[in-house]
Amino acid sequence: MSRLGSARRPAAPVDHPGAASRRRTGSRRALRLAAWFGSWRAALRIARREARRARGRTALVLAMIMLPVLALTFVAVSYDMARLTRAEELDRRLGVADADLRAITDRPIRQDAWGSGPWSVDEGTVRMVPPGTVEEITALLPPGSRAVPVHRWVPFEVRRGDRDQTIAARALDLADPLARAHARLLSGRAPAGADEIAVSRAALSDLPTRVGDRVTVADGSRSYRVVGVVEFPDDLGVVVALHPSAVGRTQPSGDAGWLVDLPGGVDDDLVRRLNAHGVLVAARAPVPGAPLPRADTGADATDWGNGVLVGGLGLLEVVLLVGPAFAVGVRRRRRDLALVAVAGGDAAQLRRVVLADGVVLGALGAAAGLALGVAAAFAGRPLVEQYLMNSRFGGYRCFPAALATIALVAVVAGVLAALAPAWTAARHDVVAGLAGRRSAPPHRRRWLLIGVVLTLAGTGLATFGAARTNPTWVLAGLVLGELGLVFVTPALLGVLARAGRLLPLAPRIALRDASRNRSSAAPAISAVMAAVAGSVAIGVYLAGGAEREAGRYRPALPPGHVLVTRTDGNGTGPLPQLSLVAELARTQLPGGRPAPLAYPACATGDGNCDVSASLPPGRACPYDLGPPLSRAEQRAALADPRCDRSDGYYSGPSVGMAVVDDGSALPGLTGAGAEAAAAATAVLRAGGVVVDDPRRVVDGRVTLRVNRTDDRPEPVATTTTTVPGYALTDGIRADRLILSPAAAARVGLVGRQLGWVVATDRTPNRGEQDRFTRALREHLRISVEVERGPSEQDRSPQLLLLALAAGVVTVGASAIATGLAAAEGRADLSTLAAVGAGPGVRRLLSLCQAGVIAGTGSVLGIAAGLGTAVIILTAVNRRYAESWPVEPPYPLVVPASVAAVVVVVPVVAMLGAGLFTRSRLPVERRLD
Amino acid sequence: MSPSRLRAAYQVCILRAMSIRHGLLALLERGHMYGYQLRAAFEESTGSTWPLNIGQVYTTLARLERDGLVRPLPESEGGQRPYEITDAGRADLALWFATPISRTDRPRDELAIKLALALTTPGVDVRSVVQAQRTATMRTLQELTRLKFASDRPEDLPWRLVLDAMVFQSEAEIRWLDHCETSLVRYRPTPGRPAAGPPVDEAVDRTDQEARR
Amino acid sequence: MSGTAQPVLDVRDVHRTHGAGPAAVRALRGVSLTVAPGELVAVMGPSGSGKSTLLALAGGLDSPTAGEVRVDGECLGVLDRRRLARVRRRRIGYIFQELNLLGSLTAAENVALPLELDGVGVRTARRQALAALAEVELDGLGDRFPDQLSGGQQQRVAIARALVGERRLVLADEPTGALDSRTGEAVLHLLRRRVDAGAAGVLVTHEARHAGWADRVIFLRDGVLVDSTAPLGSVEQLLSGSPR
Repeated sequence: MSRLGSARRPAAPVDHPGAASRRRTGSRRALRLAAWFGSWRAALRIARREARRARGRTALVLAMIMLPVLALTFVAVSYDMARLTRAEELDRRLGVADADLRAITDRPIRQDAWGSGPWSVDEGTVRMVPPGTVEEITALLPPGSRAVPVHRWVPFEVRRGDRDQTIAARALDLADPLARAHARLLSGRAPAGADEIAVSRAALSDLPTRVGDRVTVADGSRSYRVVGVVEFPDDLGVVVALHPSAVGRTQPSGDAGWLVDLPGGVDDDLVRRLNAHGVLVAARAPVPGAPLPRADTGADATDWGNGVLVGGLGLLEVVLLVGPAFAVGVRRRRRDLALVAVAGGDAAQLRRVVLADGVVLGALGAAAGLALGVAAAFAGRPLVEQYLMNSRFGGYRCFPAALATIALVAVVAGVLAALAPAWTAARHDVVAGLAGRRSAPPHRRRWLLIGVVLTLAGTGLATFGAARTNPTWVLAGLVLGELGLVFVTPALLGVLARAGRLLPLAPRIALRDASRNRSSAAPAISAVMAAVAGSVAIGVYLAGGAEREAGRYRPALPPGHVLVTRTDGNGTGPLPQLSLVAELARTQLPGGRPAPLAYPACATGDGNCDVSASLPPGRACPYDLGPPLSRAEQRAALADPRCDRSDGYYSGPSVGMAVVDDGSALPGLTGAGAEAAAAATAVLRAGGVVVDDPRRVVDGRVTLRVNRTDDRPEPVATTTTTVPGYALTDGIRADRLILSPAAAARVGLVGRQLGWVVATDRTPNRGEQDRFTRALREHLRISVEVERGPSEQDRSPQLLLLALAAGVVTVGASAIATGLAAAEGRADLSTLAAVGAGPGVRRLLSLCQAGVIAGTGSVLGIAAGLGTAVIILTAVNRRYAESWPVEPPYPLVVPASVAAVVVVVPVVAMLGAGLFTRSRLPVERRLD
Repeated sequence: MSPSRLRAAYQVCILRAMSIRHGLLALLERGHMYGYQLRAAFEESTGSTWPLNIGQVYTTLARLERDGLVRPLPESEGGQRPYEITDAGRADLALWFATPISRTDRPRDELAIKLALALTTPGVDVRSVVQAQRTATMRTLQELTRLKFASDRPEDLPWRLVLDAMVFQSEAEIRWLDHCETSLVRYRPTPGRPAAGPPVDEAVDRTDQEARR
Repeated sequence: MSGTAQPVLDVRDVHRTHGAGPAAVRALRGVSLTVAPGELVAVMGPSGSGKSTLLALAGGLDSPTAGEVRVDGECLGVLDRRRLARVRRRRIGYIFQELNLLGSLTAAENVALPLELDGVGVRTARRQALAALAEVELDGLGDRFPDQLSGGQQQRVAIARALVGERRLVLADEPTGALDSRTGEAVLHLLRRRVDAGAAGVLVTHEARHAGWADRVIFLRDGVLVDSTAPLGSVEQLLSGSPR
């Protein structure tokens, strides 16, 4: 410090320009630099010693910096190992072969140099027969070449319970090194014939099967014997390897081809010849005569922006969690810092002493996190390969660029966390510090102002971004807003402490403590707030989205009703008696009442007949769904009563649009009330039709249009007939047309029964559905579908994960803050004990301190999160309100899991703090 | 509580601490007085604990006059010659008030001498001497404090300061006694020898040993 | 000061040993002490003589290995921690050298602390606290935080707290340690006045000057009571004799 002092002394004025002055300026600069280095060296030394002295706090900070670094490092290293280089990729594809050929199409193609990128078909050229056998491809190759067929994907269907499942299968000769490439035979032998297979390890347990067992395909047409266990490095999932002889001729597609061994290299001529036959060539080196593809442009700016912002939020969270520890460190070392000031340290040097803490701990945390992360990634490689990436990695490597960035960010986080305490440290009153007195630094109104401005600006930006559906701006707005709230928190604490005057003792002390120790309490509260706000906002958004999706759902059947469809071969065989089906439905399904379901088909001749109820001109919506409409058009469409339909989706049972029915299936299909159903049935009995769109009925009549088609896309014939019609608006409306057999006959159609619709009393559960399916399958191959309403796109794991993350942050932040407050408040506890506080008071105090942190943070977070969600959803809804086709607005839904966690977690944090606090007060020392 | 008594005690304390020379100067500072008046005032202030004969008064006055610190005034009808203090006398008095009294000026350290003697005299329990002395001094201290506590009027301030002086002296004595007591715990007189301290040769030995270490 | 009144504090032959075996430290070895209402007893002794242990025993913060401690006739040894805390907040006032006040509470709230811990309503407690503060001449400073008070003022708040309500035993552990002699004296003055008004006081100090404020001074050495001054007479008796 003393050296510094001399360096800072103003130099003698230099009044004549010249060499001397220049030299002096130079040496002054050198001195200043030396001083800067010296001061940093001293600061770093102090920081190192301090880190060793306050072990608990150091460990806490290290852990908080290290854990995210570890996680990020693990992901980065694993990602890098999983991302194959081009050489590795080609090596994996080619093995020992010289080239990989794939018959793509039946026309000549043009390819790029790597044989992987985009290829284009020469349009307008004649179709030819692409090479499909080894002989045909060998004929195209130079003499002395050898080709072996490799089918990378062959459909392979097995029965799994009551469902058929397609699993990945390949066909190649595993005994041939050329064909095998990088596949490894783990045990057994390679399949030698068409009825032998090898399976992957995952398949062994998944099918399940063993070497020596037989595997039968779903339709029972073939059965294979498992002779070996094989591993394909690019797919560690369930894979079956067939012998090439089990597959016939190679069909042109990207999945099948040949690995070839060429006597010479791949030349220009060969590539041209193969391309002319629709064959794509890939070799180890760029293929001659083909253009090199342009380099990948990488992620676009939006992705980068979002990544940076999300990373920034994470960084903010770490900074907020670590900050309190530094703040407490500063408070503990007030005297030391004052001594540095007395020894001649200026504000910058004092700041440096505290910042050095951040540098040292950030660097240590980063180093430890990197080391552990790389070690974990290397050690965990087999597990990650097997369970996460599902493929083998390219090799051991560690992505230095990413690691350097992560380390830098960690150090920055440390420094940022130490920044606020460093500023306070430099502002402390030296005399008070020496005397050991604690003077609360005056709270600057400036920060409150900055906070409010930032919050407002963030809100504005987020709203603007939401209105423009620009996620980057929304995110930026949120980050700004949260930063603003972080700045506002200390002032808020002050207000709370003042408002808590009439509270009982423990909460009053806790509030005042938090307010007095703003430098550590405010960041902890902010951390909780940020986490809770994020989870609430995203939770509300996701829940609203799910609700909205559910709102768009259009059921195909009344809820709980069951559709049974035959799936046997061509579907022409005899069906079981209705009485049998009724018996099974009655016993296996809740109140199952089946009715036969028939679809219209051409009464005579081949081809397909397609019937629809035409919409009278003038009743159709004049706007088209296809091209985007102008704003004015959208508004007009919105105002048009004919265009009230919004987009919906069907994911329930696949019931056809048109049905032939005499009224027996109608109640089960539509769920209409008895009266309406009776009226509709009467019309059907009278030879009419029933529709559920009233626009299609004109004066009690409906115009039917029948298109007869064959292979060609254009209809061969169109017939139009008008029949009596009834608009059934009761029950579900799925744009369905129900024809009476008579009406069908009038338009040249006949009903063909393809299954049954089973009305039920309630939605059958999976067990009932499976039992019913199994029972019916003994008589016929069928599929059974149940109308279960909008598919619960199960977002609850995401929401729960979010809420849990917020919960962990909340509990962690309150634990940190409470622990630090407890360490600070030992003296207070002694006083309390002497004054006669009972043994429970200490617990109560801890509980209240945790409550202040977790509670305030959660309340602020919920407010901020709901505010955010409301802003975004309102902005989106406003836009949706003017769009056509009608977009349903996002409802404001607070997901139960998030709400519960957000409410429960502070309570847990409080109880935890209470439980983990010793009830004995520090001065009490009794023999019992 | 009688204010006159308090006043008297105050005077005692003031005068005890001063020489006759400065005592007379201080009395003359109140106004001019002749010899007998001075003697009476002096004796009154000292509570007759410091008898002073008239000869001492005149000798001192003569010296003061010689030094130009007092000046005789014309004789009164009774044939008595009053003296008044000169400016030089006032300065001298002020200087005396301003000069701290050095510890060596004080004639006694009877207690210290007593303890030293007790240490070297066989058969005396020095610790109990110390403790008895400390209890006595403590009691004095308590009495002084009690007196101080009793005089809490603003005009008693000079009196309280005097009491404080004595409180601090007693305190110092108690601290010294405490120090003696702790030193005694470690003190082991050499048997068979006069306990006047370690013999010279032994001391030399020890120094040598220490040097060798 | 009459000897017939029941002593407020009665310590009978207490022993206190910290630790066990060869490492055991015998902090107190058979100390007895009674303090009557209106009596202030000073405990003097060097560091490690057991002064603070004695005070902790008297305040129920520590329990003796042998012997018993009675406060207002109630034996502390049979009380559980909860009841002991109640005795502390109802009958005993404790003053430390420092660490006296809760920084998060205002002066008035600090004084009201024992009352509030005892379940007295916030408003009642505040009223009593303000009265106690007025007694220590801190009128109008009730809403200040300790940070905003001088050391002497803080210690006076602590005394007000030690005396608020109906406490009869005041235990002071070096109450003037952190103060200058003038301020320290004022604090002792206050203590003396309160004891004269009927409380019993124990003052632990290592400064004779402060012990001088007591009616009786006892000396502790290595856990044993070695000496004690006789009670003083009245001021008149003192003045009628020689000052020295």
